[in-house]
Amino acid sequence: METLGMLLDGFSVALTLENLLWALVGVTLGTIVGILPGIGPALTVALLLPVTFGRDPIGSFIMFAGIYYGGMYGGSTTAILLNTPGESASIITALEGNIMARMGRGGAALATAAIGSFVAGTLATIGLTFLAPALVQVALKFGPADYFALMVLAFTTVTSLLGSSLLRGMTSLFFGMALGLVGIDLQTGQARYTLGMLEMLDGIDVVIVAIGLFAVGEALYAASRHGRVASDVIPVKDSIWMTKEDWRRSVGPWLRGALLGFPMGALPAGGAEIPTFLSYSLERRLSRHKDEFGKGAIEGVAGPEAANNAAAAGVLVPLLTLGLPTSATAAIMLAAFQQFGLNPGPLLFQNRPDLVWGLIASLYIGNAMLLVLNLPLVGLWVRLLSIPAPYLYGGILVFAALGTYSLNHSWVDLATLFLVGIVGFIMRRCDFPVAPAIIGLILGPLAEQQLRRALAISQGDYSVFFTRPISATLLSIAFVALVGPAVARFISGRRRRAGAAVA
Amino acid sequence: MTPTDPMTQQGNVTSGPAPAEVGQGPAPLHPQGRIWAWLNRDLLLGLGVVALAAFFFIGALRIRISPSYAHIGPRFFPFLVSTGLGACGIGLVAQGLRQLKARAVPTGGEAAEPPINWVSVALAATAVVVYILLLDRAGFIVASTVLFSLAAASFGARRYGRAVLVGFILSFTAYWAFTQWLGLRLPAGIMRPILLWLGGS
Repeated sequence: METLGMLLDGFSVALTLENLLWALVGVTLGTIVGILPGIGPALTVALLLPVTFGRDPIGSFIMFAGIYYGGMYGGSTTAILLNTPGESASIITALEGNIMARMGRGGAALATAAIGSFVAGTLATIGLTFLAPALVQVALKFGPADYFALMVLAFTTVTSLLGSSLLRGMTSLFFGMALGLVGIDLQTGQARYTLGMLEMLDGIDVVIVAIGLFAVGEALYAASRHGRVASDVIPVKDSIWMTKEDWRRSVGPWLRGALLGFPMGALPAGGAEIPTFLSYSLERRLSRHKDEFGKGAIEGVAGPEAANNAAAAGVLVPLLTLGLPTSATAAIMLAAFQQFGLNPGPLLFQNRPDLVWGLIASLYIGNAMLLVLNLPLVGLWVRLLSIPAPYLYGGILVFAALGTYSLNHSWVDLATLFLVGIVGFIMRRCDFPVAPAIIGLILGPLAEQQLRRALAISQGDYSVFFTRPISATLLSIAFVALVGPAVARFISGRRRRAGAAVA
Repeated sequence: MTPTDPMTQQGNVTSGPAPAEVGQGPAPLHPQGRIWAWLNRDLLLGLGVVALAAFFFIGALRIRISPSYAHIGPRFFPFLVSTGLGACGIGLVAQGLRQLKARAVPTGGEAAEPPINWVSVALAATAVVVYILLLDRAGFIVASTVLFSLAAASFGARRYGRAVLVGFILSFTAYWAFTQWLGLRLPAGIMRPILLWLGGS
């Protein structure tokens, strides 16, 4: 009951005209950047950070949350009509949805994606509303050793679950953590890796790295493919209203997708990709129209889209209650909290209930706005896809440079942006996931702090990590997450070889 | 597909697994794409990562520690991270050597990737460098217009005049909006007299 009271207070914050306006700006921007290829919610929030500096944090976070949710909605539109998923969580949607669009059922695919996103997003936001206060109670018991173990868990799951190979994920993570070392050591005041440059004392800003990897790296990558690969937009011919049959076949996948997506997002495992894959294979197994999968089955759009939106809401649980980001966008949101001098976690719930609950309430509102914005107006958004690539990437680079420069008005930042962009291009081209680098950069310094604090308390005794029950549990899970997939692959490989030998 | 304006044309549709080769734009296929595969991607990347790890490891040795600080100091975590990074690099090198030995096709997305269009990449990268050089001297609007136009050219925009115009309008609008309404400071540069005349700053 207490939670409901808090939520009502949150609505009284979120429903003020000003904050409604911020939510509308956020979801509109989110939809736009979700639809546009080459630009996503993480980059957009990063670009807007300098603009929100010194303004009201509540309005800013309501806008950021709108961008985050809106990006998820917009991404599905691109995936369905262009077959180039705007973000990785839409890969599965692109699979079935694009085939539906090619068969002239694009409208139905867009509708089931939008309504499914709304249903799952709302269910997951309800989940967030009730899970977050409970988790805050648990988080209050966490000591430095436990926080460190939690971050280790996040590192291992994020790298072993994202991307194609553990080795590449780990490389990306350690690269991010190495960048995070640069600057003044907070505990002793020693300068580290500054190369004698004053500008480096503050460290490498995660915002610059995000813009470099996502905007410059992505633009260079797109340039490298220019004239080699291309795509065309499939026009929507049918009505965007679903038939009775479509509804009947969509409701189940929506609910199951939400149930799969929310817990998987809420775990420190994070990421919205895995639940979409799981939802897809689950729906294929359950469907009475198995033959339609791969040929445009509506369940294959409804389930994964619901799962990805639910997971997106789930990611906010560890972010708000523990300060633990598990996706690139969440990492940038954490950077936003830091910019406002706020630390997500139990204390934020105590000290700034207006902000936390206003933000959560705005998620309900944003979801409703997105449904209205996306269904009837989808024709308008689709026209964004006809912006020519030269102008699109030209614009992305102009705003990337503007966003970076406005941080400190320093050319060193711009040079960093350029170098990181080159690295981002290589990573993108050579199949390294980018998100672990960003998470490593922002969590690395926090992990170091907790590690040193824990060891200071224990007088340098490393066994604290294994004797404290919370820490020991988290580290064991991390170990399983790291080794588990490899062991499973080894066993199944042996079994297959054994089977082949018998046959 | 109907013939389109080169402005909007982004290339051809790839329907099959083989990347479509397009004889459009200033970007003929370069054989360099093959060199990447020949030199072995993972081996090169691994060596690069090892070098980076070495930089951070040696750098950690040069971090000063005060003798009065008893607990683990500012060197500990850098050692941890650079060792981890180095291990990843060695892993990549090993993977690369194994691929070389087996003469295997590189794993991952490389096989599905078309050869790199180096001309476009170089032009887009140059655009950013030129922007950095121009920003303080010529001002935000000029630098951004140049960045936009060069980037657009790297993506095959042919109507240069139109690209410059669009870039200028975008840069001018961005400058005006950010300095007048959002309170950011951006260098006016050589546009200052005109901006002052328009009532801006």
